[in-house]
Amino acid sequence: MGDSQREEQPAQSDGNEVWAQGAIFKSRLWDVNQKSIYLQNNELIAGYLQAPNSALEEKIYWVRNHAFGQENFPVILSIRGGKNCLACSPGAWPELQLESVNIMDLYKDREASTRFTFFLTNKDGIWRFESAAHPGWYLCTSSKANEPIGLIKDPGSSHLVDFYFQPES
Amino acid sequence: MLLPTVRSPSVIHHFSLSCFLWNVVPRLLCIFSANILDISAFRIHHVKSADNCQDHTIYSWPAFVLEGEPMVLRCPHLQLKNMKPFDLPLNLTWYKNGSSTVIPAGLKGPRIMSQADALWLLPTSLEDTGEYICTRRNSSYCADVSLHLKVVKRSEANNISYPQKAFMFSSGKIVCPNLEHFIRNNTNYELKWYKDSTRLNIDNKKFAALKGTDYLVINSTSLNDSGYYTCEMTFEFEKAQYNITRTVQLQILDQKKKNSPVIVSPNEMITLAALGSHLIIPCKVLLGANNRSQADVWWLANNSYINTIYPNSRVKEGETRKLVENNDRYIEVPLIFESITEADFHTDFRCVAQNSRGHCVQTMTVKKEEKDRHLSWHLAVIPVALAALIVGGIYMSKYWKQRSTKGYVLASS
Repeated sequence: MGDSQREEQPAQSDGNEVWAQGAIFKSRLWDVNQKSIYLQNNELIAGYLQAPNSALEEKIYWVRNHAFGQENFPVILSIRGGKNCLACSPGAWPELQLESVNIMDLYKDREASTRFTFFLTNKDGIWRFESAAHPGWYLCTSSKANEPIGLIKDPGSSHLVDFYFQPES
Repeated sequence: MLLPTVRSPSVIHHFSLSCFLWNVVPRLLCIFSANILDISAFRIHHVKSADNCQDHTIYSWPAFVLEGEPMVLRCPHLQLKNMKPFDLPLNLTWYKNGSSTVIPAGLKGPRIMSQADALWLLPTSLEDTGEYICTRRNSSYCADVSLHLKVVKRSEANNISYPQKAFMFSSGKIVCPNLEHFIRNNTNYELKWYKDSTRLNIDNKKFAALKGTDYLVINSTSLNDSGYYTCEMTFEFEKAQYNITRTVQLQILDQKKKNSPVIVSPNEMITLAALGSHLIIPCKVLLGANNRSQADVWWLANNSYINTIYPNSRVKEGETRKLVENNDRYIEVPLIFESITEADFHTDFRCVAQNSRGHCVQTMTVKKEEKDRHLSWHLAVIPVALAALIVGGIYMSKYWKQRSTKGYVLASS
């Protein structure tokens, strides 16, 4: 029960780390049309990766944002082991951005973390990600392959807001 | 923090006004915007172009296609986004690296031709493998992107398959990918589906597929449904027919393997504590034996985080500890009451354990330990017990005295 049995070593790379007040989880994200996420020219793209390219898939590293209330499921999403976080730009028509900020520096300060925060909802195993900074705006993919992922308010047939979000096994 | 720029410093720019604008304007804009990262160098390299284009982008991962099938390569729009300030029309041309001739535009030409921002190979042959470069150019600016194509033999279909996933005991959707260029406005196309070369019976029970859709639905999935699926469509163009096939490798995910965290203590709904007393309630969470499993564990008071309700830290969360007992791994977060107040008896305390697979909640309340009532009860009982003891003692001693006297009398008689 003592210190000798503590085993955590900060492991920045694989995300299996426990620190004083939180844990970083690693999950795979793909939309209901089987498009997975990869990085191209600083943008996250949803598309179909062939087996020889499957290592390009970006795994999502996420934390529960403790700066937000308990009622929703507030999370901060990132790639590259937590070094690059997904953010929503300000304005009436927000855009999705990637910012080089460490996910562990974000989740304690509500004001600073709002644009990085998404509320997760799950219905029958399908997940949606609503921007905390822009209520009603959801993370989306284009129904076309190899287009950037973004944010949308009223998804029609041209965009998808339904994802699978599965822990990395 | 990196300077927010989408262009790599390795790009060598020619001096011109447009280049100045190209270089400086986005940087200035970015200073006022968020620190958008530059992490593209990992896979996309900007290098100096041989034909004096300001910007040259190489996609270092190839697209794979089966020989004899049509293929469309699209020139990515990455540069055009940055071209907005110029607003000048750009001409797009394609050529294959190693060949000086521009691939002809229009779709009525030879086997390889270009239309709009796409390069068509109708159909591919093994020797088409190589680097294709699309160049967008006007009088002052030029950007090119090089894409890699690998044409493989038909026997390699499984090696270039698209991995997809479905969950066990549900209905899975397999998508026949990258057909956009061949479907266009045709709403009546039909796909043939095969599993491991056997044509699937689309009975709308186990397998369902509709005309004009690019997916197959598999109902009541089981582990047996994993494997290689092939979809096939016919594409007609200029009176010629081409087959397009895609192979999908379906993985069935077993949700039963999911391990939600389990709160093993507190297992009592009520904890007794006296006013003013110090109290520690550990929330102990079982993670299981898996070395990689973990959880986020925290306490709530009336559904709010502890540090927001008690900014003075009268009640606070202790340090998170990781424990191993009998090969099982646990995480423990104690809730520490410096000194119990009346308000604590009217507060719901809740421990929550979350991992990427689920969460677990245990609610607990602190009840007042009735010190005074216990004391008065004790005070009443103690004299009675003492009296009973004394009376009993006297009686017993008398009884034993009598018995021993009788015994002696009997023995002696």
